[in-house]
Amino acid sequence: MYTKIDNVKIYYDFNDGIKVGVYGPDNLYLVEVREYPKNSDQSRFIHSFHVTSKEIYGQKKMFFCNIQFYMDFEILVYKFTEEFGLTLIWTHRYNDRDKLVVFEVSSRNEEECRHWVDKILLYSKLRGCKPIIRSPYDNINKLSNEYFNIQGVEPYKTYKIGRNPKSSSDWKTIDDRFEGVLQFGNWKEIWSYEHPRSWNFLNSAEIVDDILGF
Amino acid sequence: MSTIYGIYTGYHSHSISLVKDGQIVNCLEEERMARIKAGDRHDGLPELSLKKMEEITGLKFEDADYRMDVYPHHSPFTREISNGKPYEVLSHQTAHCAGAYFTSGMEGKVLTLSYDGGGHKHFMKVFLCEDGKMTEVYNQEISNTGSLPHVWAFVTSGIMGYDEYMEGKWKMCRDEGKLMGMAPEGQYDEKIYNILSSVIKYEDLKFYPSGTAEKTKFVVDSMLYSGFFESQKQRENVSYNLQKITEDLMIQFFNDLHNRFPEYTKIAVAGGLFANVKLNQKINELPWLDELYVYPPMGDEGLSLGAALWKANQIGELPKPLKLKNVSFGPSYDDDIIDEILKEYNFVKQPLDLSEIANDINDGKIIGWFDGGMELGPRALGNRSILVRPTQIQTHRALNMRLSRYDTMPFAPMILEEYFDEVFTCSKSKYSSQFMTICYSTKNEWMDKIPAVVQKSDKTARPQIISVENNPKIHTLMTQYKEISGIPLILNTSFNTHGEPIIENPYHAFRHLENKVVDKLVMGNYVYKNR
Repeated sequence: MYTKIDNVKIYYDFNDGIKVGVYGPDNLYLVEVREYPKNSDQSRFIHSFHVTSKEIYGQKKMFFCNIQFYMDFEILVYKFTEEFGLTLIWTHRYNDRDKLVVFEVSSRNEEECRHWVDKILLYSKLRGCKPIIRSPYDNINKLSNEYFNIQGVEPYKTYKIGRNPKSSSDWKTIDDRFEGVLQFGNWKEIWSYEHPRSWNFLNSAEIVDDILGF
Repeated sequence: MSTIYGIYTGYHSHSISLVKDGQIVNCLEEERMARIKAGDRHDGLPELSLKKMEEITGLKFEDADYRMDVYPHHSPFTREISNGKPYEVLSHQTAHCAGAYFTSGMEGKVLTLSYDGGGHKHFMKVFLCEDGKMTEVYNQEISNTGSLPHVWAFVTSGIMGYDEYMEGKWKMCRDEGKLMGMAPEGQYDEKIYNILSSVIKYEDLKFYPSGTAEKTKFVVDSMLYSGFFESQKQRENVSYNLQKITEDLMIQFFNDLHNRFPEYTKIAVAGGLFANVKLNQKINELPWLDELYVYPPMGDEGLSLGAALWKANQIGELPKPLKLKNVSFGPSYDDDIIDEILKEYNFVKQPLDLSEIANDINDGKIIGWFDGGMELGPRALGNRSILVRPTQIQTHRALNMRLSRYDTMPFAPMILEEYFDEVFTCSKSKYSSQFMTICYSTKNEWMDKIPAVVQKSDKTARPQIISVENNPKIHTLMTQYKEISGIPLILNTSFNTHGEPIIENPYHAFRHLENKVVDKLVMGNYVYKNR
């Protein structure tokens, strides 16, 4: 997805974590992700770093944050001005209402798949999104009205429902002093970007609840 | 009657402390053992200091009655050294505050707070303390609030530019003092003030927005590309305005805190931000404040002691705050050990004659001073110090050259307790000034007499009060120097060269004598010099 604010073009994609690219005349742009906790209108900081579309040694080209589960998040893009310093130029709050959302269901157990898909359909109803289900079972996939709506359409968001392995860069696998730390010494409340909780400690029903934020 | 080990195994500034029967026995910082400055080492563990501590005290970590760690902690390490025995992990900011309160010597109502770059969920905690009881009344969570120390960290890291690995030429957690030292030479600049203010704001006891580190990094990198750091004058202006923002926001914060808790006029503080002696001066000058106490190991190196003292209080062995005579809780070496080490060198050894040393100082000699236990915290307070006369403006340059340092801030003075009010304008918080943690304004008539230890542009100095009780030997030396020169102050800087932690043992001291870093070395009851 693209948007344009004056002479700045912003690309964003939520299908594999959160990706944001900013293309404009300035050297650097700051991208930030904030979360709105349940029943709160006060957002809290999750992650940010600055990006550039120019060839500047040591600077990142695109913002990426590996949040795969449901979260009520907001993206903020800032630029630097000599008059005001940090200056907000664009925000986007996650909202999948009326948008195509893909749910990749990875389980070889049909009963488990069916349970998870029930929860997916409930999520779609609550959020008002159009679900596309991708599981090993075609009869289950057809439970969504959007079954055929998959050609040449870019989904707004993709959820992976299953027992996804933790990435090797997850802090838990490195050193517990770095609990919640990504870089620059910042601490986050959530302990893993891929799932709020490790699936090792959850049963089948809890896994889908965890990922879809029930 | 119990033994309590405190240990800090977090990112940097590791340390270990032993408290016995409610009294501080020993504290060791890992950087002094590893000989790598804490700010240069963001991994590692307190292995060497633990080994040294167990050697000195004869008490293994696992055999103490209580074991305390502090968040963020390295649980496998603490588990291993506890050898299956239980240990507690205390909140980072609570350990800071416990260290501050339980060494403050303050009686009655004390407001204790910590503020730093974060550790286990919080940037800040505020406690109301009375009769040895600490009650948490306020905190600032990392996910919801901003951190002024983060602004300092990232401006420090970026102001001199980056090396080929995109590492700041100045290091965060190490060089903030250099940045602060430049501030008095700069000027107010509305543009810079506004730019830096855009990353941190304050209202109603809350610093915001969250994500200060990344925002500052972004703004600093953008300022770098826009040429804000090109000349020394520009960097000084950035430093000045950052210091001004810090003082403006923190003074507002302390006044708001006072409005909320007006009966609390004594304040104890800890956390990295309060290494800023200029900020401490502004706080100390608040009209409603009776006394300020800055925990001498205000950074993370003080966490292990804070945790051990907290536990001692919990089990009833520390019913009220301690009043410290000094913070020399590190290893000390007697003359026999020194003699053994001396065999490897070929120095002239003479019995110590303090009047001779006072004359040497008056003649401009640079004296290495190694005496008693090593100090805890960032300041050398007369046990691992270099002593020089304060009367010559050229001393700053000469000493920097001798020590291969590039400090812009003036060196600090020791002052005889009885002359403090004669030289400095404010007379509050003298207990804290035994540990060199607050700046004071120098009276005009003293400016030209002690130019090596006063910042000319703002007339401030960072004095350490010397009394007979806290350091009798240095007190005698200074009294003799006063008789010769008429000056009740001596320049005191830490005994180390550039990039090196403060020296720990006689080997380190002898090496600096051998390399002619110092002209003479006073160690224990003897004086050593090169042949």
